[in-house]
Amino acid sequence: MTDDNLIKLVSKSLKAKVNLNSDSNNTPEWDSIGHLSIISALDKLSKGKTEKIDLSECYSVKKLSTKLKKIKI
Amino acid sequence: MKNKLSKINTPWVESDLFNFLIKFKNKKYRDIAKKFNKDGYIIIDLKLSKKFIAETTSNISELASDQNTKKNPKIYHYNKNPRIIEGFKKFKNIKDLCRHKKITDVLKYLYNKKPIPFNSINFIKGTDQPLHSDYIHFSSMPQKFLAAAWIALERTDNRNGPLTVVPGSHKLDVVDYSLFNLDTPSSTTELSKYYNLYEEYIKEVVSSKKLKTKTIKLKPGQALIWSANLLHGGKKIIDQKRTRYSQVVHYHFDKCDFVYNPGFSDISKGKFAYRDLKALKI
Repeated sequence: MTDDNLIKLVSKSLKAKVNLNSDSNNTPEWDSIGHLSIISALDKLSKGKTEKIDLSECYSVKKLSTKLKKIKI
Repeated sequence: MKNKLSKINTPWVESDLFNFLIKFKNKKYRDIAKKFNKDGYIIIDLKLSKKFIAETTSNISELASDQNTKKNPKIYHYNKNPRIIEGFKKFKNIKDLCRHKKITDVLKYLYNKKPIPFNSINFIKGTDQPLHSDYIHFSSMPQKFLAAAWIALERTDNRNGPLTVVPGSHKLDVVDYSLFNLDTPSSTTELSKYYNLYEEYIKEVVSSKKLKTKTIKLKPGQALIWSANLLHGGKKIIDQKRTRYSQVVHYHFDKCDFVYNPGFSDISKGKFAYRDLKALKI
């Protein structure tokens, strides 16, 4: 997944404008519910592949991107 | 409790064996247990001092005026009044209320397990929140090891948005989104739609079963404790100027297999959005 596509997914999940530098501290919509929405959207898109990695602490677009690249999503 | 059947994997106070198992419990809270079993809630007096209450309301006001204070997600706000979370991280009084011995003693008696407070919400005014069960937000395995305590820090009456409960509704079926054939939500917008559907469902259940709603009027320092699946909500605020300082605390219990967020779980497929209770423990 490209960073652009990840940004689109996060943006859609949170219903907020985000960029590569967005995280839970600078995006009010990125609360616990928002984070679960992102994880759920990634899970659907990857058809369950993201279950193999722990995204629970990835509270920024960059951290998500790094983790996803590790499992080639 | 000395009986081999007391080890059933469900809260004994809500079980079909309640009338049998209560015989093995000490007498201290038997009457409370009977009320809790029948209605799904009880009211106890925490005997809080006026000084403690005044300090705590001041703490809540301070949190409300701080822009960095964490609040519940927007989708769970029904008016402009803030639902303040994690206040226990900043103020000892809020933390002390979460761990109040009278509440934890009663819960330990009712559930035969040690209660673990894992979140708090502080309110300045009423919520206008429709009827719901907390179990749509916080679930456990084994099921129903969840309770809440709502502590009044000032008088609540018909005019300042008191709590309402549906006595006996804790015995209704547990509901999660799979009931509506919905997949796990992948956006907060989707979750919001699911939750609205859930609220409509609950409204219809209450109406079609002709269940009665009861308004709970409390004095400062009294606590309303309710069980996992009890329907409750905030009655409409009549006097918008009136405050309703209060705190709600949710408890899971030790020695459960796990706890999870049902909103993002698909139980029929064995998929759970786990919560880390050790990390959340107050």
